[in-house]
Amino acid sequence: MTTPSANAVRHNPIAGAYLTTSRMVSVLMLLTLLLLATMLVAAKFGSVHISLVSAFADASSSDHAIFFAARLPRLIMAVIVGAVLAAVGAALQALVRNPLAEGGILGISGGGALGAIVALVFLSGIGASETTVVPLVAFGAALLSTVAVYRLAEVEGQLEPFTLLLVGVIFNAFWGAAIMVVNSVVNFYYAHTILFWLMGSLEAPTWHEVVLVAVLGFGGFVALMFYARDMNLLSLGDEAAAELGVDVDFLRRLIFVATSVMVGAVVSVSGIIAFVGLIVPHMLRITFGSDHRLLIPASLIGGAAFMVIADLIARVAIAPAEIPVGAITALFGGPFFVYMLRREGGKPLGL
Amino acid sequence: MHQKSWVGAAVALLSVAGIFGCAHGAVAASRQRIVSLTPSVTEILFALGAGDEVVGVSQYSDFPPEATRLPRVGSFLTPNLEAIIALHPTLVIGIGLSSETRQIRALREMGCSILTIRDDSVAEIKESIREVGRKTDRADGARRLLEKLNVQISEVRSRVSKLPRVSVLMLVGHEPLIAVGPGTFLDDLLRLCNADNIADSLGQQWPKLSIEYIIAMKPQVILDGQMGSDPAAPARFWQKYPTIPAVQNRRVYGYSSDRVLHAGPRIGTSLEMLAALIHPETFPASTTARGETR
Repeated sequence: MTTPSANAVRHNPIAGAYLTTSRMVSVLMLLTLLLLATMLVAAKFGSVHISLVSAFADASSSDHAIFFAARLPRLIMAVIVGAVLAAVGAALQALVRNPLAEGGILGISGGGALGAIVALVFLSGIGASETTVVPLVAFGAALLSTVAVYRLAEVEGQLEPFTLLLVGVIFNAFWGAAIMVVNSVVNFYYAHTILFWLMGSLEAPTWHEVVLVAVLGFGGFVALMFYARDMNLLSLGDEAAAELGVDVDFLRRLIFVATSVMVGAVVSVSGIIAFVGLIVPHMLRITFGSDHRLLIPASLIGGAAFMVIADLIARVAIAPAEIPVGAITALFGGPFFVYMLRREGGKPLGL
Repeated sequence: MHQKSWVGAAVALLSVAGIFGCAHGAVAASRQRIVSLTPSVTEILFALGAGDEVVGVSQYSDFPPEATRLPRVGSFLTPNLEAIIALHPTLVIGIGLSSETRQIRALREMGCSILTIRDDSVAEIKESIREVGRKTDRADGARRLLEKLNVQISEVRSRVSKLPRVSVLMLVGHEPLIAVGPGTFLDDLLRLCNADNIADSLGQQWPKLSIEYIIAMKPQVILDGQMGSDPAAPARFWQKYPTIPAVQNRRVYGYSSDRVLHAGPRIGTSLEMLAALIHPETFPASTTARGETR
């Protein structure tokens, strides 16, 4: 890592002088238009050909049924999941002061996925409702995993960002291994379900799930936005931030809890969707700068657009069968990330 | 703005979404539109004479041949929600596991008529045939089908009941070695053949076995589902373990798994075929049964 403060001062003056309201509005408007365009395309295309005109005009048509009962909930879920994952990635990168941070790499998604899988496999027999118990256990496990990573990365009461990232990577691998152990003791139906969680998928969400993830995701986003300015200061280093009046410990805890709840909610319905939280904030940081007051909402909208496109590919590429959307994001995300990194000469992308 | 009105319309219509995804049974009382989610259900429907009411089948439904011409709605565990809705089904039939998928849960929430049958034993398969018969107004067809099945079962039983029991390993996959375990209809069929399934003590429906366990259990007959497609590979595989009685006595048989694994009306002929492999002395002239396995 290069010294973060040198970069931060250059890119990110404390007062945020570069960020005017009109710049913020125009960037967010532009991204919103992009999102709406991707949503329109994704609404039009799918495994079955439908006419959007008849979907809206004729309530008894199968176009209508397909659009409103199958395609729309999935499209909205893609928007929410992408938005949440990208916003979480942006916040975690600020917190850890490392461009590799995101829910997956810090072990949050893995913990949540293990929780969801264990709940599904071992609690389904007790008649508990899948749509309530599984998400709850997923949050719980995501939060526990985060707390454990956070505690283990503390050295003499100080959080060491680099250690945090290492501990996160270890946890990520450990949860993956634990999931594999569960996978080898269950029958083949659950083995398939576990694959669904590991690769991520947006198949057939219920409105109940859409609302659940939207509420938790938006709640977390509001909390992050409220402290966006403090996150800017955090990039100057803990001490400098504290001197400027930031309660660093509190801010860390807040970001961890908020991101755990957000990631837990997403994982419980869609499994682990990798790379979104990594790529989207980086792309936007390179393009629009690293002020978190703009970066976090921009990631929210940009992440949504990215996920809508990824899910569109997942749905149509080999229709009527489907590719797990996590495989699409990783296939496109991996090479793209390496390209961005090389383009920047291997430096920590503008952080 | 155009986009705004689009979003507004979407929001307005959201509240009523979900009640019209499936045509309702009452609309088409005389003629159903049935979607089958597994090959075995497809076979049952066609065997009952309800084939002309089937409008969509699962990806691997390959029997009878007429079924292959129908629209595909995805596979057993990943049915395609949009493709199913597009067919306006009055009835969607799956087996226990397929009905637990998110897609089927969504269809159920939309008010779709879903029939979930079970197929973990011969008794359950019989009950399922009766249930599908009732639901499609073909109770007579179901009765005839079951009579034929019962004749096949009692015929096999009477021929093998006096014979010594044979210890058998029945595999459905090689990597890993997945066997037929207790609580499956195939285990039932093995029992009807007077065979002791070496995987019975493991308590799992589809246990993954280690080769060490198989060597220790000394099965007299190995029924290897993968030999049906590629005879050479499993033969090479078993040569490495000559202490297994089945290998020593050249009693490793292949069977065509995609046909035997379907828990449908053809389990009677599957039973005859398995019995002929396990007790060749009693079924010397069963060339038809054997022919299917090679």
